[in-house]
Amino acid sequence: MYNTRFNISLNFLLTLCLTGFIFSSTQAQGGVILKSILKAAANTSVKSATTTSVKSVARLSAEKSLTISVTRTLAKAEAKALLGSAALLSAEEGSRFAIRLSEKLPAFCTESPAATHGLKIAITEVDHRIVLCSNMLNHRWGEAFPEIRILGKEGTINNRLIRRQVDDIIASAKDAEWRRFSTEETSIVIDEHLLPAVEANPKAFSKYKQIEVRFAHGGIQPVKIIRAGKKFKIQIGEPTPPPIISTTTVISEQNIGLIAANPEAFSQYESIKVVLNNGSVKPIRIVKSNEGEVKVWIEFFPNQFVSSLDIQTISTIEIFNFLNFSGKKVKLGSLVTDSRANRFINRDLKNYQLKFKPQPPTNKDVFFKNIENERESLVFLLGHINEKGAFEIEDAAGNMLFEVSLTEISRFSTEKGITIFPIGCQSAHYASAGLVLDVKTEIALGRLHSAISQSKNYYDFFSTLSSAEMPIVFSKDLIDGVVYLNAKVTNQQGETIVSILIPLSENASIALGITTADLANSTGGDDPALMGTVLPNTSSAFPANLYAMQFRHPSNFLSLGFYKYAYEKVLDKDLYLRYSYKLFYSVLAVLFLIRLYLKTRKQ
Amino acid sequence: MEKLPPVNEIVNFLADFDPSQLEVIKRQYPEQADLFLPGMKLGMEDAARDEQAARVTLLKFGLDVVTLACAKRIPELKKQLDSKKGFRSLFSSAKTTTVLGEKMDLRSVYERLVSLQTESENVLIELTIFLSFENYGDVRPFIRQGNKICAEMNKLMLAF
Repeated sequence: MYNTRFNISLNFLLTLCLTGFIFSSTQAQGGVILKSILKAAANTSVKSATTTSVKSVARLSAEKSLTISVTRTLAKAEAKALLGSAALLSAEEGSRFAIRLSEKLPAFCTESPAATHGLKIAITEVDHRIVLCSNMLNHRWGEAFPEIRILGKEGTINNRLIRRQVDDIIASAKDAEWRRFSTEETSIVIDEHLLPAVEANPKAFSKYKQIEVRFAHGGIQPVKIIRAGKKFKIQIGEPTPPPIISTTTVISEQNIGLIAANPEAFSQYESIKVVLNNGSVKPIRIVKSNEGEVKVWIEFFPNQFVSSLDIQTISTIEIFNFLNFSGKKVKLGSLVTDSRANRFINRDLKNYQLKFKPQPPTNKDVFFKNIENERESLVFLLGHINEKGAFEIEDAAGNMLFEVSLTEISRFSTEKGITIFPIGCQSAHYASAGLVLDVKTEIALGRLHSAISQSKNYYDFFSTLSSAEMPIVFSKDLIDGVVYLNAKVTNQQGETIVSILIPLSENASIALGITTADLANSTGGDDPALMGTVLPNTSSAFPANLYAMQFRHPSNFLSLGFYKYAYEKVLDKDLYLRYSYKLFYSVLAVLFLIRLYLKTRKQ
Repeated sequence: MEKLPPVNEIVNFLADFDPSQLEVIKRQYPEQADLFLPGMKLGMEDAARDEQAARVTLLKFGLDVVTLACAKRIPELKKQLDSKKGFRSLFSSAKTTTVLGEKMDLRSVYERLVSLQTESENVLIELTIFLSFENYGDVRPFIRQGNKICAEMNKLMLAF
């Protein structure tokens, strides 16, 4: 009797387990994958809807909170500007906290178009109100709102008085910025494009002892600010020979090319500043390389520069706040024989080491071969730079093995799509990215170690990496390498048909105002997993077969192209589910067998 | 631009094994403070005469410490080697130590130390002549040699 019962129970249980296995296996098959893909596609398409309004656009993380709520239809450019100003907020304040987008942002929702056409700003930190408003004005989208509401702790205040107050705050913010700037200087030459700024804020400029304006034809004329009752007016005077000598000059973003074209004209100034299109004032540094090449660098964050040729990338740098940093991406290749430096690397930076085989590399070919597969990494090369702008590689006995110029490395990195940052004395003078000043291994490695171990996002990383003794210069390639996956579509001859920049993270794509649907449309496909932008937008040039694409990160997009990305995401989930089911039924079976064993022993 | 011989390993050696000596030189050449920071400068250095004088002084201090360290370590090693002679050495392999990832037996370490002591003493004799005449024209090969001695000494000392 017992045996029959036992057999029935066992059969039942085995059937149950088998069913479980079959069920879990089929779950992982195409049906579920397809379902998940469709689900993922649906999720993505929600984000990419182009209609309606934005709610809860940005939230300030860390210990301080800032929420901006907008209820109005925002054009993409406006949303971008808003996010841009959010990024600027932390940058200009110099504070350590960053603004991050929450997971669902910007969550496009379907509120009635008749909803209040107003901007709601909930600011818990009063100190930041000014900067925020200032940035809003800089981006000029804040002006589009007829009404601004400030949600204070006591509730919503919504009247015209607030609008006036905000106007005052905006005015005083700009005024304060100029005043802060003006207190440092006694005389100034401004670009003619900046005359409206003087007209808007004559009070701020009245602090200068001398003001001159530089016209497009090259002439410089004095500007006078005259008090007329309670108001100020500006008056452009006649050229006065000999010219007034000013210590500072300010140039507008659109005229920045003049500096490189005629550096002698600017050599007389102790301080040169640029007013960017968003209204912020940034210092400029002019350097002349040994070859006589003039480089103009803009200090967009303290001790962080970008070339004037890459000025457009400053807006991209602002999204560093949104990019989570991972040390896994960093690789450090040491080309020095210094025992202390190599000990430091072996002790504290071992996990990030790019090991040359052999170490040190014996010739140029070996060197390039060792780094050519580092497409997914941000490669730091630490080496001694000689007077020709080349890394000198020596063996352990101090004998010179070979030298490789930074120009060659830059060319190689561009061709192969590898992001390289050379660490050596004044490396930025010879390459598009690198260090401004001389440096010792101890300092460079110490900063790199701190940056890797302390950073949560790329803003933190580069802020920690740079310092007054180690200012750094970014290049467009470096920034793109950090922010994007750089993909190229090539024809059979290997010629690039089109370059695609795909943001590395969803947050980055959101911050850039890019939606997957935009991309799918622009690439002529309908794949929602495709995130990025197409430069230039030549969708007709895309081959129908996506397998023909070459990607910067082949491990992510190897054979299946864009689709693999979606599959990988889904597969991970399904594998987990499949094994969860298997584990569950296995545990059940084991428990049953134990119970059975105990029962039989009792009998 | 005249290329100056590196002194990074001398500074590293002093920083690790006799920082007080480094402090003395820092006080002697306060304007050359950067030169006495541990690590390697990743670029060209200016050939200022004062800096060359600082390098020579640094080398002298460094090699003094090297010879002292050798004088202390060599008898200790000799004693260890002698104790392993005879019956035990027939059955046990030679005792080894790891010097920056490479295995070296004690005899090789001992021989290298003796050799380094001789080399550093020779360089010190040459340096004394240069220092007495204050002529640094051809002192660069000695600085380079001294830097190599310190690099090797650094590795050997860390192995103990």
